[in-house]
Amino acid sequence: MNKGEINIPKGPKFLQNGGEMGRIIEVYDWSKHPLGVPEDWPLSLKMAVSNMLKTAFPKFILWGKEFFCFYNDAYRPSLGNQGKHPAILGEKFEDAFPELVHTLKKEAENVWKTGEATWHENQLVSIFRNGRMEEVYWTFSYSVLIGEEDETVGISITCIETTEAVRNLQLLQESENQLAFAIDAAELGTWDYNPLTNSFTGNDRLMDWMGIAKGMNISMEQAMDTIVPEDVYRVTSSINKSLAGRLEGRFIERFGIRNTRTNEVRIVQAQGKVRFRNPKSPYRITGTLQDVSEQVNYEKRLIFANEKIKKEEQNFRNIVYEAPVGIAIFEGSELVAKMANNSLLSFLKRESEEFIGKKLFESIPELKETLENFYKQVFLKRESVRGTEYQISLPRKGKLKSAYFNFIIHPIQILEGEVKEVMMVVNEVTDIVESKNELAENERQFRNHMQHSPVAMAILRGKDFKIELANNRMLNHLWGRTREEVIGKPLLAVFPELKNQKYPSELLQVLNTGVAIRDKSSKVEIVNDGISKEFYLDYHYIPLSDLDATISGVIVTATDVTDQVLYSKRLEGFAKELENQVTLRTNLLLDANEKLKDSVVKLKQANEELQSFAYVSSHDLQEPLRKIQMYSSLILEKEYSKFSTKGKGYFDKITYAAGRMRTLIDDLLSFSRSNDDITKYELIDFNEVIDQVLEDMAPTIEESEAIITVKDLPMAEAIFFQMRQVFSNLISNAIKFSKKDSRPEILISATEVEESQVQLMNLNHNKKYFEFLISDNGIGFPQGMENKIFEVFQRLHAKHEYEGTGIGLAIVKKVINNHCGLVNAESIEGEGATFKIIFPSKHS
Amino acid sequence: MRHLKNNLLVLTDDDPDDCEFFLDTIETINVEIPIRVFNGGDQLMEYLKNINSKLPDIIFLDLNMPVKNGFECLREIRSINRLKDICTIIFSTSYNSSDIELSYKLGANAYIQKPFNQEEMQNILKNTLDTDWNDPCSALEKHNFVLQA
Repeated sequence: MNKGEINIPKGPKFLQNGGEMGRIIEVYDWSKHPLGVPEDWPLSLKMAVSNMLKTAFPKFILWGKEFFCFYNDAYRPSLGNQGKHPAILGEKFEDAFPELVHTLKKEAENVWKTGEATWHENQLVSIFRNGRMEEVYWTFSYSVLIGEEDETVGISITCIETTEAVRNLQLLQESENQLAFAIDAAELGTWDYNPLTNSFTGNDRLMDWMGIAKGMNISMEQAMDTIVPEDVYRVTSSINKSLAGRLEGRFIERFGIRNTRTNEVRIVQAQGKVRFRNPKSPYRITGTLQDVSEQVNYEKRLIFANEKIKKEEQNFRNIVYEAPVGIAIFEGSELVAKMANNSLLSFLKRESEEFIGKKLFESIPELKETLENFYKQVFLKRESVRGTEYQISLPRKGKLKSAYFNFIIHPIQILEGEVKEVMMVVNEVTDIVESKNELAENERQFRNHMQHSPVAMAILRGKDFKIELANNRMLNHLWGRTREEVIGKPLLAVFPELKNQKYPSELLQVLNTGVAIRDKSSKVEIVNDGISKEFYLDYHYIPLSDLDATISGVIVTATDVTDQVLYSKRLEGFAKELENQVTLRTNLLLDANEKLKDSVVKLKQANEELQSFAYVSSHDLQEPLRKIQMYSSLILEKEYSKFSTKGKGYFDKITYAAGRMRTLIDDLLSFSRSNDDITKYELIDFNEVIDQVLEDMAPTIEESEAIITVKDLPMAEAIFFQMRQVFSNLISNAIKFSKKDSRPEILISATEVEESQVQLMNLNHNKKYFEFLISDNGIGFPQGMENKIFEVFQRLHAKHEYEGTGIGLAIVKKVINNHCGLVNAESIEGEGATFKIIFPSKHS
Repeated sequence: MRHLKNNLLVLTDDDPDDCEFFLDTIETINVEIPIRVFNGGDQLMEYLKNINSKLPDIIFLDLNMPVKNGFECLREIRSINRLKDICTIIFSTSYNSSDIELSYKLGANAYIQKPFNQEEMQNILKNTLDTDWNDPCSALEKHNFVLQA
């Protein structure tokens, strides 16, 4: 076979103008082919081939029962570049397309048999071309070729390869599927509105949203009915704008649609595009709806959340500003204050404008020394530093004062490994530190005090009573140990001998109950250097509570009372002896008391006897005496001259004796009367008392030529006539006991007694007392007689020397005693006497 | 001496010595006036209560008497309308303040302690008889109730 050799055409006429395939058929060496050379071919074949070659539509001919292959130029591209062309020309169909023996060859045989033409559109026929099996789509028709005697002589195949069209279709289909999938996946609703026919359609999802049966055609009005009322106007006007061609026919709107069946409302985001035939006449508007209910809700929630965050941020900011700890933020290594809260400003005693925007160490230079290194460290290491109870001197009330702070300096913005901002948090702890220092000082003092206390003390800690502390007295005196021997060791390890004594169980009890235990003169045995020593102790176990009120230890205080105990034991013996003595003496005393009682009774009787004597004397003695005197006076007057001289002498003695007796009885009466009426006090003027006394005594005074000086006297509560008696007695005494060779001088005065004296004399200190002094220049009395002179019938002189009954001063003492007063006398014998009378100004 | 309306004095005292002394003394001061003497309170009251009895100008009344003492008499005299205005002067040895006080309370006009000699007795009687005891100005206070010689 000579292929590709194209000679100048000179072959049969039916191959003329047959294109490339015409020439190939012409040059084909047909001489060895069963059909023979073309010049000899039957006419029907010639006509069929000619027809085929001259057709621009791809054609193929299967000739004869053998299905010899012919095809034209139009068909040739379908055979590919490397493949059956031109080899299959004149070949039997089964040789040319062995891959189609079971498909198309059968169809061709069927068409031969029935003579009916067939039509296939886009039929997939895989053929070998371009060096491989390719899937090729064809649209083709088989029809029979008729010979000269109406017999079937071949099959004409008209075909066109539609592989590309099919492929495009397939791509289209696929992209439509993808779109649908995308719409479905995006859960979009789609809609389509024809303004000319007022027909609105939606996809199933949209119809479902609207609550309208799927696939229905509805009017725009019906569609609008599903939009929530508040959105209808906006959506309508927006659609109208789009239809009028504004916004390039775009339609974007968000609105709510309500399901007509379930009333469920969802918010949708609608997008659409109007299509125009010409700018004036829109014919379609299509678009999508996206359910954004959740998104809207989410947005709403987001807005709410944002506001909340904002609010919380504001709150946080407020908290920061109002926080009781100082907070400040500084920018850069220059430490420019960016923010500072109120507490910080108040710690530093600065106003905000004095601090913010300024460099820290410029606005508060006194901080530089203490804080600069901390800041440097923060910038260098990019880590926070903290200071605890840091002492910083700050000006307060014009003075630099030490304040204590806890602070943290913290890098809060680190960019590219470099600290840009630091935050400082400061808390003033001056109070705490000061009280801590004070506490420490107290504790130091306490420990010092304890260490040197004369009372033995120790602190035992924990269930095994570790000796935490023991003072000198405890160590040296009771324990006989050095501090190193005991501290940190359990009590019973140091003093095993205590195990058999009551103390460990008592300590445990204090630890468990928290109730202190104390005892006195308790015996304890302690072994010291192998020798057991005995002590008697007053001790006190006090529970030691921690801050959480648990009892963690016991304070022991002990006083050594061994000596006292031993003494008291010895004393017990003495005491018994003493007791016997006391019993003995008591009995003696009781006897004495009995005797005293008897004496008192006897005294009382004597007093009563005296009283009754006075009474008797007043009534009965007076009577005969008066008669003696009365008749004496009658005798004196009428019969005296008849007496002899001797008789006259005797009579004078009778008269004198009777006179004395009368004085005696009068005085006794006065003395007994001075008991009466003691309650009848009245306010009397003592000047008047003295006046009356002086008046009564006028003859005596005159006779004695006495000089009596009376200083101004006070008023006081007293019984008038008794006081008259008192002063009368004293003045008459003073005159009576005057010196024979000189004029009596008597001074009477009174003063108020000073309070100190009142107390000294054991008088009632609530009362005012007067002191009366009656002094004379008479003979006085010897020392030692000061009390005796106030006794009844006590006389210091012989009757003939100085007259008197010896009752006068007894009356004075009695009256003054009845007036709750005191009387005493002082004298230098031969120079005079002074009587002192003291009694209260008032009695109630 | 002052003129006495009824011209009668009464002395009541159980002690005959005192009565004699009283009468003798009256004589020495030249007073001529009838004096009735009773030796007991009962006799005095019997006389006074008799409507026919002549009422005295002054009754001198001892306190310490048997049967009916001076206080009883005084109380009765001051309680009987016809007698209550009679001047009654206590004439007693007692100088007891309680006796003096009770006499004052019961309405005696004055109190005389029996004197120890005639001179005093004369002075007191003179004073007593010269006083118009019915004159309210003569009424004595507690402090001058006891007459001094």
